[in-house]
Amino acid sequence: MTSLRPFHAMDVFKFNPTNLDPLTETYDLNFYYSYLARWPHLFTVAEGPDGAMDGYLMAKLEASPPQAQFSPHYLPFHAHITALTVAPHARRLGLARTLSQSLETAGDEYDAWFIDLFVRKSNKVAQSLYNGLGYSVFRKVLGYYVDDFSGEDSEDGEDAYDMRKPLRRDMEGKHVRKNGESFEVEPQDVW
Amino acid sequence: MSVQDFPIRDQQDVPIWSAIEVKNYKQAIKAVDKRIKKKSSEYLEALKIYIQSRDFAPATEKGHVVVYIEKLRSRAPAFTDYDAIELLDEAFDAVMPNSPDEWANVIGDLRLQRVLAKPKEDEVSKQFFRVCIYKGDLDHAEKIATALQKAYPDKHAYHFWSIATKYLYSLNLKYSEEDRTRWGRLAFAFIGKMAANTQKASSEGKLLPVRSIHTPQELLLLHAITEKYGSVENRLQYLEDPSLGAESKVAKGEWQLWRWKMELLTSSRQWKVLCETSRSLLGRARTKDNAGKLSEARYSDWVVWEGFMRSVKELSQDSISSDEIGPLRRVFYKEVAAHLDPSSGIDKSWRRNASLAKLRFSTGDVSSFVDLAITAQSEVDDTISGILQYLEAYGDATTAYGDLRPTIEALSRSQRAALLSKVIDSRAPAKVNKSTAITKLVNSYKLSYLITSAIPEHESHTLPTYQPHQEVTCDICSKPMAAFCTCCLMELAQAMTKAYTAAIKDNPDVAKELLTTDRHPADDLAILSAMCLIKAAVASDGPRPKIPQIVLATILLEYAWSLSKSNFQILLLLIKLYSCLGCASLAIAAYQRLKSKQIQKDTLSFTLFHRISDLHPHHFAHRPQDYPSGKMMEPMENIVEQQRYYKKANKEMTKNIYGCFQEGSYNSAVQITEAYSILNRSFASIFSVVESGRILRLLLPSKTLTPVICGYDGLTPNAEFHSTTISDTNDYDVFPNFESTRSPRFVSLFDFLVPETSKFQVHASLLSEKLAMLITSEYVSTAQEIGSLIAAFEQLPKENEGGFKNMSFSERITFECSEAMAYTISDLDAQSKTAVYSYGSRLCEKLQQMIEAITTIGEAPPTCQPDLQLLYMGYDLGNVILKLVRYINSRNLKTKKPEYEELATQLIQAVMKKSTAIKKKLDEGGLIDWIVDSLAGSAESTESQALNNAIGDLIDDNFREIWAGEVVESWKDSVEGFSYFKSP
Ligand SMILES: CC(C)(COP(=O)(O)OP(=O)(O)OC[C@H]1O[C@@H](n2cnc3c(N)ncnc32)[C@H](O)[C@@H]1OP(=O)(O)O)[C@@H](O)C(=O)NCCC(=O)NCCS
Repeated sequence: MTSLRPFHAMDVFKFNPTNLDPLTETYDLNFYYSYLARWPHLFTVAEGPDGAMDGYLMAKLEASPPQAQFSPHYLPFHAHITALTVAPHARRLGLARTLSQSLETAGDEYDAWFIDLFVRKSNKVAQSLYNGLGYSVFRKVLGYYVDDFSGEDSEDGEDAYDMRKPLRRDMEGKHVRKNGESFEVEPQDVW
Repeated sequence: MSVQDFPIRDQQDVPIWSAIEVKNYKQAIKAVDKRIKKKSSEYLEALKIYIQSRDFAPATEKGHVVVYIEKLRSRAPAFTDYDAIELLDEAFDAVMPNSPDEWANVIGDLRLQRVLAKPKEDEVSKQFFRVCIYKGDLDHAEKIATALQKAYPDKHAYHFWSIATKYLYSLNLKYSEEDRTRWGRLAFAFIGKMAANTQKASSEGKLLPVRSIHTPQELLLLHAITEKYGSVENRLQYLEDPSLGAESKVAKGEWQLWRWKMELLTSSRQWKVLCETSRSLLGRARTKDNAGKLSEARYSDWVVWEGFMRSVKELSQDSISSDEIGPLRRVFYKEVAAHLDPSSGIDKSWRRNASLAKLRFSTGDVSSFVDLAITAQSEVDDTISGILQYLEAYGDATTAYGDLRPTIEALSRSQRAALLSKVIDSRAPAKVNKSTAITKLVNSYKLSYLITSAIPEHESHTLPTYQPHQEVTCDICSKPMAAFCTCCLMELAQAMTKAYTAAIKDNPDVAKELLTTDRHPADDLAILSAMCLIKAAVASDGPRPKIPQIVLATILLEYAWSLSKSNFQILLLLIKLYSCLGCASLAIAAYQRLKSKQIQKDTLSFTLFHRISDLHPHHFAHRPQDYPSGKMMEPMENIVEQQRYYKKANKEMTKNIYGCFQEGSYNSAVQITEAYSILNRSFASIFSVVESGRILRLLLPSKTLTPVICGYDGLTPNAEFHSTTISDTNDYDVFPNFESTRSPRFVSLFDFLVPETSKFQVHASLLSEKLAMLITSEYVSTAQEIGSLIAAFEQLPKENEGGFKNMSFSERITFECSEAMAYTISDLDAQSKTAVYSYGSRLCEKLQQMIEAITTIGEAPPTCQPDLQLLYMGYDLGNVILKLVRYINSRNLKTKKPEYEELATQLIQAVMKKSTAIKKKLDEGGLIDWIVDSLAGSAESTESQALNNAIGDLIDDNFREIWAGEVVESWKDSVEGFSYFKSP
């Protein structure tokens, strides 16, 4: 069954099926609750039988701060996927796609330029999900993740791809680029 | 706070702050007195108090600081200097930290007075509101919010601050029921007025006034409050209102409103409306917009399908005439067909809902709503073919089992038998060389398990004649069985182990295609096979499980984990299995591999740490192979970290409640407040305190324990009282569970180790622990403290209300002795000489029972957790009683030696004797061979030997020997804890 509902503050007590997975980080409560405070409408749960957490999407809408306006890395008003996770038992049912699409609708409603996210270079599954949804790599962030899940155990951590999908507002595709994989930036260039 | 934090008002203040900086408080006081003498001010008065609070003054002087601040509070005119108030707050916190109620009375009130004195300074008022929220002082926060609302009637937000704070007040259990209800009702009245204003303005086509509902979060708050203080009708009216309902402008598409509408139409049995509403939503979900997109696809949510099914079913049963039934059912199937039409463009996640609805509807099982018996043969065939079709279409997803389970449970025995033969056929597929094919195979084994074990067990366990150890005949294999049919279980376990071996060994490419972080699709075969073994192990007659089966289950899972390291469900089972085998260091290693952090320190600690003092209270003598020292946390470190977490979490939560006010997210504020109240009263938080007391008494017997050392300062007050609300945040559902939906979860099979935590057990454990701390630390027991403990003992509903049901033998004995000891102390304090003996016979009886139980513990390894519990709790109890005797002696009552003194000594001696014997047996050696031999099997029965062989084919000798070595090392590490036992 597929059923979506808003994330509830009490969900932190039962998100273990998604969060015990190594690719899903468990943050402090501040993190989840600050999203509930600022973007409660962008924090969605896919619910399984008996209210179990099958997955969730945590997202925000924002732009770079005004002082960064002239920086080459400035980001105009956009939606950002902060966390997207589906519990191992509920994978490959299309839940991640459905959750991501719900954000596209919200992004268009708020007139955002695009949706973006960071994904590990080794996370081929997530990349295939996003590619299928029309996202492309915008830039590569070197050593973005402290730990390395690629199997190479690099001391410099693991690179991230910053992937984007233009929304309705970006009709001309101003905010996407081809061959983004070869466009390298440092972690301090992104925020 | 330092000079930098406080703006220096005057050059003449510099010497004061400089003296404070170097902690020369005498000098600072002199300097401030000098300034006050010249010209006093609020700031200087406060500064003086602040300095006094810094000084290491005796308690009386600290009290003096508080009294002084309190005086300022009632001063007229009110104290208005901002910096002065901040200084007083700091001073208060220094002398009375962690005293929220006193803080509210003194500082909260001072802050409110300032707001009332200068109502137009909203930045300060907001700042003070924030501080009150941080401190959990909702009383003053509410008053400040209302002052803001009055001072700024044109500011929309402040009206909602005032309403939301009233409601938050009503949720806070620390306030009296009467006050809470009063504020709740007020919130209800005010928000109702806001809703009415929105309705009125909308109906008149006017702009929304300030005092009306403008946003989705305000709407959600309206529902939260109305749910508590209004009626279902009120809420439905709002939901149906064009200006406040799910499709209103204000709602901005908030999906939760639709969910509520489905739920409330169902609970109020408005089948016609529900039918129309759900049907219309499903129609919209498959209709493309002008851009050719299915922009309302989410309306095919499962809750909408459930509403549709339920309403059609209910209407067919009694609300409509018989000739309307056929057309209505056709409408339903048409809707399903439209969603399943390949050209509909509907995404697979939503289409699955239509398939599942079709299956549920056609088999008469509409989720939990109704169970209709299916009788006609044609329907039987339809049902089975419906299930098989669903399996064919969705069997390659893990969720298929959960989807089908309720439907299969509603079948009759013969239907299940018919289905089983088809399912068994599907267990022999041509090729299992892909993840999806493996998942399909796993699902068919799970269904076999459901039909042959889980459902018949449930049926047999719920018969009125059922007795756990009485033999009956198994329906499936016709062999004798007690609680579980060992024969069926072993046969399944063997078949699944073989299927697992084939999936792993014959298809290496499947694993190659996985990410390093993925779990292997065949894992559930190993898990379910281990589950069958565990059931077979606990099906034995005695109170302890059969060890050979537990050993087999453990190595099977350990092996599966070595190939699928991200599978946390394997780790969860391993924690339990190692606890059962008395391999505490391996159980802790499995727990650490979960990498639990933050809130998981609370929700997962029950898997191991609720009773770690009985399993591994001591420092590691040996760490498992892949855990270099330092990386594996000592048990006590884990508890300390958990307690630290609660304090941090509290701050994070209150900070965000205020954040919600700033953002206008009132519904989120309500939710976070609810979560805050739950976390602060969680079973796990209470157990962390109980366990630290027990561990510290053993490891550091000469240390004087205080409430702060054990972490009581982070606990909700009076948590030992039955009347105090406490909450279960243990996440039992994270364990794998393939049982019938009507049976207890699989994890409850481990109740023989540590019974599933109950409210009674938590209160009782805390009560026993509080008393033990009071007695052993010789921490002055005031009559008031003992009186309070006795009141708590009296409040707990014991035998007659089944209170002891969830307690182990040792816990119950400890609790009963603690109660007797509390009464003894109380009577002693009342100068009664007979007190020494009044409860003596009860104590003696319990001590004798404990000694007896300890003498019956087997000496050969493994020493299971319940046996270790007897030893550790027995030792603790003996010592606490001896300390009580010492306390009695200190009273110089010149009474005869009580008999329980001797028995307590005997108890400790029994513990020491038994633990020495266990240790000796362990030192005799030959254990690795014993484990390896037991893995090879003893040909006790053909099924079990076949299973041993199947596991032998899977796991090579090298793995077995290394693992057996680890187990033995872990046993050796466990018995190191016995070295803390000392003769009295
Ligand atoms: C990535 C993740 C969210 C995907 O969730 P999901 O619900 O299983 O994904 P979906 O079923 O919606 O898949 C949508 C599409 O993604 C692709 N995809 C998903 N899983 C895939 C896999 N294992 N292999 C290849 N492609 C895959 C497919 O194209 C799929 O479409 P299809 O099934 O119609 O072929 C999930 O695997 C997960 O939670 N991983 C761990 C956390 C994570 O990596 N999050 C992303 C961080 S940016």
